[in-house]
Amino acid sequence: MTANPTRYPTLLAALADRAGVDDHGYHHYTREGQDPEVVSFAALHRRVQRVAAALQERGVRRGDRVGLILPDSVEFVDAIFGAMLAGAIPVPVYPPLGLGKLDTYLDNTAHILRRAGCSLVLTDGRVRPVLGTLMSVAGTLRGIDVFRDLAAGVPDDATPQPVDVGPDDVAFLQFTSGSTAAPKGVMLTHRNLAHNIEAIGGAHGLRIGEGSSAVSWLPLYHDMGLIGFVFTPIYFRTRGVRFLSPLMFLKRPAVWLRHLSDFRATITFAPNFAYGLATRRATDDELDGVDLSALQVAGCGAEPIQYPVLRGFADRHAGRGFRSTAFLPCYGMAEHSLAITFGRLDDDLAADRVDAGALARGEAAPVSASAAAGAADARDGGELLIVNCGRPFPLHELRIAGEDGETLPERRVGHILVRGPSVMTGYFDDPAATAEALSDGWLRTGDLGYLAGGDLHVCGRIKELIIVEGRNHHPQDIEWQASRVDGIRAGNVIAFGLHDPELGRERVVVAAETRLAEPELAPLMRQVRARILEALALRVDEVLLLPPGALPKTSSGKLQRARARAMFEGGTLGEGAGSSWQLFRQLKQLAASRWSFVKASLRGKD
Amino acid sequence: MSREEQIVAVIARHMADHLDSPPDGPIGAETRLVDDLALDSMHSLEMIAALEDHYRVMLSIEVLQDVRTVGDVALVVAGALADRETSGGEVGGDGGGDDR
Repeated sequence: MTANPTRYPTLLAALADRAGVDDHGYHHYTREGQDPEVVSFAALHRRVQRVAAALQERGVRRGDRVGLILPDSVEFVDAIFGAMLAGAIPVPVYPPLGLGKLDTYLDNTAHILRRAGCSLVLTDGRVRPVLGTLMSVAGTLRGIDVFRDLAAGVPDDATPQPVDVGPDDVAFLQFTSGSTAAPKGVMLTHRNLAHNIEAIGGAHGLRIGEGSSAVSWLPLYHDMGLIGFVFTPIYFRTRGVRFLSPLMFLKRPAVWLRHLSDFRATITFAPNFAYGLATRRATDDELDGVDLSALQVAGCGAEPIQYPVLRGFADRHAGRGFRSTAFLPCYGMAEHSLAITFGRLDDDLAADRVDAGALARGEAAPVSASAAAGAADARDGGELLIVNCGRPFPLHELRIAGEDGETLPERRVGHILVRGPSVMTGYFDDPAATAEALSDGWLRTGDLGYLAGGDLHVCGRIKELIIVEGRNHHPQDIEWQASRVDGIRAGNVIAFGLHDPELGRERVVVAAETRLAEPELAPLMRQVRARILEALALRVDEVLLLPPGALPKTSSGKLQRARARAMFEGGTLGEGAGSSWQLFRQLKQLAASRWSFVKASLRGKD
Repeated sequence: MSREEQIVAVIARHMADHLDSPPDGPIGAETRLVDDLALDSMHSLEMIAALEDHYRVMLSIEVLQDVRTVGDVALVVAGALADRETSGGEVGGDGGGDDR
């Protein structure tokens, strides 16, 4: 794949080329109630030299993994480039988000640090005390340093020993809970990143130039925030990026729109749920004077896109100059660096109206092309609106494959496979998972979709995805978290959602096997709920505790989610599990009574 | 009713309006945000914003790292109100009154 070289071989080369750019850069508004901190690309280039020198002095060597647990965006950006320049492989880890329950956080973090074999963790003075116990559970870890103190340990003008970092070196590890079980470290090389960034910002993508400016509240420890809003702007020398923190957005979604307006920003990206929040929770008072007319790209990705949510946003903010042609639906994943397909710039948001029953059978049968544009409800009359996610980029291939790997024709639903220079080299230190994901250069995305007119339409893991309040949860993520609770039989958990008309959303059910019995079951249920809430911000409606062997599995031991859900609906889940059946029935009644209480209280409110 | 009790009542009303599965009993100062209300970070930040609007004070996102119960939140709000009063209750200070 050397035929079309990227304009920079590595991110470090792009950064070095910005050493004289002192009028473009990052505007960090992430410190609530304080003045923003502006860091030009030139200033970043200088600061990063010092960080790299400090890391080398601390003993960090080429290829060492350095964990970054840095909630502050200024420090995070300094640290990730500094670690790269020192020759290390940075490993972004999400910081604790507050509201207690640190056990879960520490358990997940220890897993990531162990998996990556991190020798050092950089954090801040506020988080540092919380991480105290990690040293004893992550064997390779030699230190947990406060980033500010580390950097202050060397002179302002310190420079690192040069390390030869090339396009085939791993730039960073992106840990993803993705779709299957435990978090895995996606290895992305500088070549991967350069190609994906070219795709994102180049002539077939957003056509980013010096006039471009962006606002992002996305977390920087995640691919969309990191690659999209830290790396890409350096590469294309954009005018500037304003960073807000995710919590600032969640507190007041209107803040996002206010900054877009004040900065006359041309580009922003967010997951589907964020557009929903900015429709529902931003009040007219908060938005007084907001003008979104400069916005050219309102990207939407990272989770399945719901057409009515985006339409609702467009309707709500049309009076503020927002144009629905700014919407840019996209499909991507960490294993493909970031972006796989983009909708076309300036095209209006488009959705394919298909027959729901046929889609479940693998056929995307159009219902009425003309009706699709004005439709407001995705699920009336057995029809579904599937958003058009556009096409893959030059040098990148995409195909839809059937169960035996054969390429399917248009409008047939199958596995989405992708190939090209953005595809990861593999999962760090995990050849089994890598072999499962990659074959012959093709990456199995694990998502289902179809092509129509050459454009990708993603159905997600449509049968298994649990959608609550506009947010999509993979059952595997929920199951993995539940499995980590003491007393739950690891790997013997099934999560599913059931549409509940009375609740107006999906009811989330977690069925888990345990060897424990009363009186330990009620506390165990609470722990499962608390764990999932803490780790995934998802409230579980029902936890069913079952005796060992009660969950349906295939002969090869794979969990059968669809069957478990059907059994649950038929009231037979857990039957035939011998003497424990009585116990199960009691639990089920308990769950049911709780359920009716919720329904009654909802009715009382209406 | 003390000021804290009044704030607790405001929080309880907010929760009753915003939670889709309210707890079994009444919400009071002792009610725990995570264990009793199953509050996630999104809902708790929504609550903080609602309290900011109600009392016209600035409440930092970081308070969430230090609160466990409804009563803890009420204390934080009461503290912010007291700060505002001792500083004269004026908006004219340096950058204090960010009226949205």
